[in-house]
Amino acid sequence: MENETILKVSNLHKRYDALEVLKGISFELKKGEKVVIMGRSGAGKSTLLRCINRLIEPDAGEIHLGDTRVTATETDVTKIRRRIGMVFQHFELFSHLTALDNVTVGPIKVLNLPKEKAVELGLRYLDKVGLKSKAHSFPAELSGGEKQRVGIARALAMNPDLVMFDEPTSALDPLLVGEVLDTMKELAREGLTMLIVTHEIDFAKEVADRIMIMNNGEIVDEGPPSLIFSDPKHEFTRRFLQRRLS
Amino acid sequence: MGIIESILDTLSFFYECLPTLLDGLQITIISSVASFFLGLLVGSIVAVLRVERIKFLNPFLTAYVEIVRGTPLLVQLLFLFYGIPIVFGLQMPPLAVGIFSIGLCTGAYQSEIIRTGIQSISKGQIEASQALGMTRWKIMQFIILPQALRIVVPTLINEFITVTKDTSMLMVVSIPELTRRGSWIVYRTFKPFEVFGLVGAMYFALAYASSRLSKYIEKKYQIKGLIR
Repeated sequence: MENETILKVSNLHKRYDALEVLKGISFELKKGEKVVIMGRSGAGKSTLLRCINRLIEPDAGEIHLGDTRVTATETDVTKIRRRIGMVFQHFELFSHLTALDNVTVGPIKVLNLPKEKAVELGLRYLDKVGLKSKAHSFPAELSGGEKQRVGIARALAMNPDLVMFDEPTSALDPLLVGEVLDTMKELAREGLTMLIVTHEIDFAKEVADRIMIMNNGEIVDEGPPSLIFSDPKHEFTRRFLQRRLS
Repeated sequence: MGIIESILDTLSFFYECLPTLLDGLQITIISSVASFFLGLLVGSIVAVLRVERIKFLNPFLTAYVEIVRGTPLLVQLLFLFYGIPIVFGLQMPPLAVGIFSIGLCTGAYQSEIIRTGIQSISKGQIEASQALGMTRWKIMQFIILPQALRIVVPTLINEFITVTKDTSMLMVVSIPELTRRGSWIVYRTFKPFEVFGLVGAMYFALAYASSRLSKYIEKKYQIKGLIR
């Protein structure tokens, strides 16, 4: 089932008092698809991601994860969240836990995996992001790039249906961006379903099946990278990309 | 050779006092440790309930903390000591009432200390644990409290030292702890300078040992590489 829809967002709205952050966002994400969201800061990208796993409660609209209606009031959000991995701009590793414990805490405490199994799983994912040797280091002993790769391993260890990346390289030293993007490219090749907010244009060109450009709470342009970069429909996209590329 | 003689006199007097005072010190230590841990239990529960904003409990918890903070411990002690038997018709051993009173008092202070620790954990880490699908109680148990308690260890041990000194008030409800036993000896011997000097030195030794313990615990449970 290559064309199975994993995530369906319809007409999503969110407002903070006078400020309308999301003005009716709709899109779909198919299994194995990689969608990149771009746009200026304040466009509503992070809010959109946080509405999808209900870290922020949307005001109106529907979200479906597979067959489950995320936005239904009776839905147990913790069951939704364990199926959606999330990688944060500022890593947000648990500072009292080692890299390995950061990765295994979810499988153990949420999925109730036995400890030995979780450790085996955790080491496998740390190995995947190239950090098996740092399994027993604490977050404060890791570089930014390493922290973010642990963050990615932590998300993967839950075996989620999709992983959302919220500007995963924006807080990194330019020299460390590459290692994180390489890890993400590798995951993309393996067919992980990814929803990525990023400003990395080259990465988006290479990895994305589809790019969505957001401005003022709306998706103003959408399409495969070739189309978005060569022939942007929208004036905003043109100006946005010009500034990013220069 | 009056000086040497009087020093020897004092030392032998101290030696005579020692058994009585050490018995008192024992009661002081027992009541300090017991009240402190009762306070830690009460304080942790109150702190967690207050940050979780359990609606119907919140006014009571706030009242508890405010009342304890706003009244002298000595008054609380006398109130409970004479109040419990009258109101509840319950005859409790004085030491139990004393531990209970001081425990409730330090519990209020400890709840505020722990609450500060809880609130110092970054919102981002809480979001990350939510995103993993953890329930709020699991987040509290496995993510927030282990970090918050580490942060507040020095402040908590400081509170323990305060509790140790506060137990001297138990003398007014006739618990034979260190200070009360000191006064007994003073009544008999009229040597307040020597006796209370020795009593003070014992409190000081206890406090100093606690603060060394604090340093040790801090080091032992320090999160590697983390500077706060």
